[in-house]
Amino acid sequence: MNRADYLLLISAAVALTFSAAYYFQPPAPRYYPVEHAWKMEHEKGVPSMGWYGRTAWGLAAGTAAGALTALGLLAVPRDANGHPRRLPAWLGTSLSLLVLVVLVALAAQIMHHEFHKWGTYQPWQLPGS
Amino acid sequence: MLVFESMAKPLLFAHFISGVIILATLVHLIWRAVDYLRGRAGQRLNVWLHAVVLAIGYAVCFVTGAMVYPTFRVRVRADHFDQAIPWATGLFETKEHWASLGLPAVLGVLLLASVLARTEADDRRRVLPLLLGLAVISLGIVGYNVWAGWYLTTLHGI
Repeated sequence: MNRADYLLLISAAVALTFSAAYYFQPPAPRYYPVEHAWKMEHEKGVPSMGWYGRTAWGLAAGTAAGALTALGLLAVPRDANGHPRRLPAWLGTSLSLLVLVVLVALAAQIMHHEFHKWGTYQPWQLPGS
Repeated sequence: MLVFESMAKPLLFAHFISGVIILATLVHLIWRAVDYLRGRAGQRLNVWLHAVVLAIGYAVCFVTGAMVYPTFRVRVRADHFDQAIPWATGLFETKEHWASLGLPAVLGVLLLASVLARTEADDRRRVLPLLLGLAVISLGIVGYNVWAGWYLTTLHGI
């Protein structure tokens, strides 16, 4: 596979898989900073952090997808003239567009979810104002 | 005592400085990539150089942020924001999740910028749309995160 297409496909695989894992949030341990403990349960009323586990899932899934894509593409044979194969231009463009749309959509979904949940869309009032 | 609490202030300072550095690096990277698109072929190596600085800076910023987070989660968010100004928690939660989303974007910028440094002109053009798109998304993420980090610290420091 041509080097540019090879790296484009790996980048796309990492970004799309990371995004999917981050969005679907497979079960992961939460960190309880006051107790210095990791637990699978989400105990209400106690400060805990699910971000480490969620990010670790995204990184693990993205890394696995990138490595599998890299290995898989190494097996693609050269063309009849002995040149590395190239991705059709339309496919490279479509894939690039898909990656960008997915990342922007996920960022917007996260922001809307958090702003709605915590009242950030409401006027920002400070205590005593 | 929380994990890394005794080092929280120096870590927060390193987190902020690395955030400002990657913000500036992204602006320069995008500027040079657009310059390259407009025909200044020599800029391609500058794009690669900026991508390397971006990747190192993002890693430092991400790790220092992750180390400060437990102190922030208890001393600032739980004790102050969640009780008195929950809208600030919304700003912070968006910041932390966007920082994670920046990981594949920055990795993509690094991989694709290496194409600019080492391949033929025709190949370079093929990766530029995704490279520029990921760089712009990263700029949005880092720009928001630097602003939100600064603003939240003015509301209540660690």
